[in-house]
Amino acid sequence: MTVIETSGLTKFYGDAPGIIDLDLEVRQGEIFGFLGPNGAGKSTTIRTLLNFLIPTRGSGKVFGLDIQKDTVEIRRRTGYLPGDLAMYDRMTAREFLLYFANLRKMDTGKRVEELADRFELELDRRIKDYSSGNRQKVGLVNALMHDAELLILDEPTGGLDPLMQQEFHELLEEVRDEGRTVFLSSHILPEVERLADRVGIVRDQKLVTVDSVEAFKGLSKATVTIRFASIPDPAAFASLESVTDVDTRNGGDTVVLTVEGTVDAVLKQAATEEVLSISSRADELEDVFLSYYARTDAS
Amino acid sequence: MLRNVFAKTIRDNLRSTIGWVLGAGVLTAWLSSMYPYIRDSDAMREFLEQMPPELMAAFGMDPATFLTGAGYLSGQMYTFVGPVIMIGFAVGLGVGVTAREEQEGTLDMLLSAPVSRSHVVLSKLAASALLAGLIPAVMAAVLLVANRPLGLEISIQGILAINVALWLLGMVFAVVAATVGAFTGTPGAARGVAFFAAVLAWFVNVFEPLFDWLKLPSKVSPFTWYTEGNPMLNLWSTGFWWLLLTVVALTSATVWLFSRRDIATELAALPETSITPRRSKHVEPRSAALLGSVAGKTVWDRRRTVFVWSAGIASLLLITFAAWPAMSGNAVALEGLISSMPSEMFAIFGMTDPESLATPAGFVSSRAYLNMGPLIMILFCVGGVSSLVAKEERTGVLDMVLSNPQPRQRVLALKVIALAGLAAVITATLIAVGFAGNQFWDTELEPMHIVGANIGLMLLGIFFGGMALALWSFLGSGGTAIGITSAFAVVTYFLNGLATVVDPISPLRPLSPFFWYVGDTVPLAKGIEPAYLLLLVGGVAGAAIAIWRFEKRDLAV
Repeated sequence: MTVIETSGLTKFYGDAPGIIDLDLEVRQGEIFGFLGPNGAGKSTTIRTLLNFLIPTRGSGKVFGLDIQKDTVEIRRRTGYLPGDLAMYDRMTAREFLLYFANLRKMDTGKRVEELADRFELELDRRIKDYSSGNRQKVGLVNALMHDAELLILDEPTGGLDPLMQQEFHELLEEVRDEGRTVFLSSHILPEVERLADRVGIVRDQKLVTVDSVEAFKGLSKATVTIRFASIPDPAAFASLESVTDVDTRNGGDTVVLTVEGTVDAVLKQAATEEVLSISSRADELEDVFLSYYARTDAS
Repeated sequence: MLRNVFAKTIRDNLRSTIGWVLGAGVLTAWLSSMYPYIRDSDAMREFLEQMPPELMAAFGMDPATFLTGAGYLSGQMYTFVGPVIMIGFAVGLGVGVTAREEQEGTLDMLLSAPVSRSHVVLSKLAASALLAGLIPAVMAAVLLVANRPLGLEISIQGILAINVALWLLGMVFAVVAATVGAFTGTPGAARGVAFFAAVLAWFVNVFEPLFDWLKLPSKVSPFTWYTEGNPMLNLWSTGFWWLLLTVVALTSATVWLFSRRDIATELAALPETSITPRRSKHVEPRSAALLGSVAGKTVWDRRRTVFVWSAGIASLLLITFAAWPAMSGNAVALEGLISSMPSEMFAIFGMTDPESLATPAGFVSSRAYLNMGPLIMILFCVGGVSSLVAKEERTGVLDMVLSNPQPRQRVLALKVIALAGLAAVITATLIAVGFAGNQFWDTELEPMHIVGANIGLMLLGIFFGGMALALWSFLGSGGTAIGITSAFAVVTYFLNGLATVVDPISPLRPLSPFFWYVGDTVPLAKGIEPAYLLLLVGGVAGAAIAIWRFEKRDLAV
């Protein structure tokens, strides 16, 4: 089932584009990673989905409801963490969370305690006295406390220490396991790589591609470094089909190869000489991400 | 108190409301308690029988009723100070409807809850109406209690009518602020437009008797609707309905505008390249020349405000000059009458030099230099302290500023100097306008007197600005410092006038900064007075205390 669905969704601020012709589909029960550099249009997309911004053209549906007409119902069923977190500074965290529970006409007292325990958050201090990490925790508790069907999280782990990030990641996995949906906007790649089922990449106000994390990794290359006892012929490696780049180091006895697909042919070619050492590093999503950008830059 | 948006709005404003309501209540009680002294003055009674009604009307007085409790309180409380307090408070509430939260960024969070935008606007406006209503409510309560013991003899209906009218007047400007805030999302714009509209409406209403061309505009001035038929005596007039209709219409406008707008758009979050390419041509920002120092930055921050305030106060001055020929037609007759009237009469309106009223100096002073001028200048100076000094600490920008290799005291001193410089810019504008008006309308004022009056006005502002600074340095809260300073200004304003009539408080009169400013001669009839030195010393001392304290305390805790 589709939870978020947009078609041709476009937002312009005057002449300046915010997001252009976005066709997006987020399915129930998945963690969808929404990736892109600063200013690519991530927050604009989110704020349009929540009707803070009125679309210039195109349409969007959340839970099959129209993002403009049925915005209150959508927000009732959605937990949101803003990217630019601003809260009522003079309230304590407990008061703040109570207020938002009241606006939802829900009793979230028990759930708030649970979440506060997990995040090691003290609730009875004024928000303005919190460190930025603790403020972020208050925002997260607010997004999570009503067990919403959909979580929209804009850069959620900023300011959290590694231990809390870990806790948060586990929480999101639980959310997914319960069949709920997470729309996770981020530019922290290891986080998206670890959590997301599918990833959409935005760049320059446009959605460039959507695919599963595995598929992205399948596209990936490996860097193989081989040190020989004698100086080999680099051309022998360059001629292999799977090798896209050859570099020599150390006066020529070491070759650094960029390999796409399997390394079988490379190993067989290397075995024709005496090999002192061999190491290989599979590219991570980050490299894919960066290469994606390089590619679109060139085009 | 956290049940819904309405209750939270009440909660958020509770503390400031208590301050405003207490202030209004105490002021009403104090002014009412002065009534027996005024009523029992024989000289005043005689005078009133001879006073030309047009002249009195120009000062908001009705000869037939002035010595009744209703007449006295209408003139003293409900024509100027009451509306100032009411509108000052109500506009703040109106700004809080959407604009303040939008600027602070909490609106995103609020609207992520399942509440519609119109629900937010209507809840907050309803709470604002309730809170704003507390001011006239407490004033009415004071009058109801004081009515018999002080012999005010105002009908209960009259007390209710004037206070309902006052409440509606405040709500008109609250919804003006809310409407502008809903459309622009900028608290500064909301507050500025609402105050400007209020001053304009007051202006049109007050000058209407002197200019034919103001007849039509004055019919749509909320001040005209408010004073129409003198509600304290004549109860409910059609003006009520116009006020109410305006509130309802503007409320609808607020809801409509706010529901159709992008909230808190983050243009800044977009990459440079995608913003209009025009911008890249200007590599040097326009502000570059002023961003060389803390003082320059202060000037840059305040540039629009200074322009608006200068323009506002200068146009007030100009139209006062323009009104002189109409007044002077009766000058000779007026002079005879005024010389026979008791000075107490005018003293309670801050006009401690009534003989001069038939002269250009007295007339122009009475309009521009005795109430509205000081109000605007004090608001400018005290407001500058709040928005440029205290606010930086509250919002955390101060940490960033002080991370630069600049001594703390220097940073604050530069800001204060820049603010004083800006007050001087307004003053220079006023002097220029004064010279021009003097020339054009033949008011024959001494040039040195024009200079002196404006310097006095500036120093009055600087005095209260310095006081606010000193209080802020001890209290650490800009809001409380401004509250106390404003209350002090209101009390000393009345003290200066009333002390000439009311014997028990007359020894206190020399303590009032307004006494140093006006004394017994209107500002335009004298040069740079020695007493102005007291204002200067007070202002400088306040600033010095604040600068000294600034080095010695923890910042932003």
